[in-house]
Amino acid sequence: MIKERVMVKQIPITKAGQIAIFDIKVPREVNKIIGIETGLRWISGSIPKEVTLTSVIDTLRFNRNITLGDLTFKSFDNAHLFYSEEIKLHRSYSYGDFTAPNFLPKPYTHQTLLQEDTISLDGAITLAQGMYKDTYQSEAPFAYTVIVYVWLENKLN
Amino acid sequence: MQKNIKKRFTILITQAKQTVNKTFELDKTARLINGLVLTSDKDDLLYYRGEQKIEINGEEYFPEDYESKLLMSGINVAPNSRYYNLGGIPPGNGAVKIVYQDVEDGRSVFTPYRVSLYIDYTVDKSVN
Repeated sequence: MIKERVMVKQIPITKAGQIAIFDIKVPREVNKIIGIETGLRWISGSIPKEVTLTSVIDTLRFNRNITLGDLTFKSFDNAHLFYSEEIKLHRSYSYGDFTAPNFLPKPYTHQTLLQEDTISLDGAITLAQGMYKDTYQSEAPFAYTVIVYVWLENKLN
Repeated sequence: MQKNIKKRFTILITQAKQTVNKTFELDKTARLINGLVLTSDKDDLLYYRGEQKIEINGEEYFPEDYESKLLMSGINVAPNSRYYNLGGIPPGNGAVKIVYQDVEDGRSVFTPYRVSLYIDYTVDKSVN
């Protein structure tokens, strides 16, 4: 019997400032919500190109990450607001890395092992409401999908 | 005697938006599956475009739409920490099924690439 499982929710964003509200229905056999992970898929529109480094000094300049929006989760019991996260495109992998001018760190080479953010919330809530608010300031049209993973722990029979 | 081994299984993605459904078999002497990790010969394509479902012994451990980047490790992760920890699950019939899907992402341009699934598992060497 599987002890842990994960539910996936995709949130399409197509407009600047869009607010998406969605529900995660927690199945009856769930004992606890144990974690949340997030992902992003860029569909269309331009995003600023990554900065290229030419010298070691450049590695000491911090490149601002691009925040796309805010994700929050709330339950309808006493826990209420139990998760908040900014969805970002990271642009600062090269900061302080003196080898970066020769081997530019990218998210797919230098990301750490991703793990979910740990949460401990009673599975009896049956429903968690999520809200995603886009904050990406761009005049050009864009579209992307935020992917939310909710990790659950099943009751053991 | 028990021994931890790591085995690599490979799938090839030759077309954009391709879905590949493949089942691999572990050794008959497998006793516990400890973890897994995904890599590719073109890491950026796996990172931005990859999604997969993974089933072990008919049970779904990662559902459809689960992004591949969540099962990748960077080179700055210590070698002993690179595998996604499954916590030592029984392999059952030893069948590991992966349904890999290539999905368009505006940050990448498709070229054919290889996806490698590494599985860390414990075998019982006393069984012949």
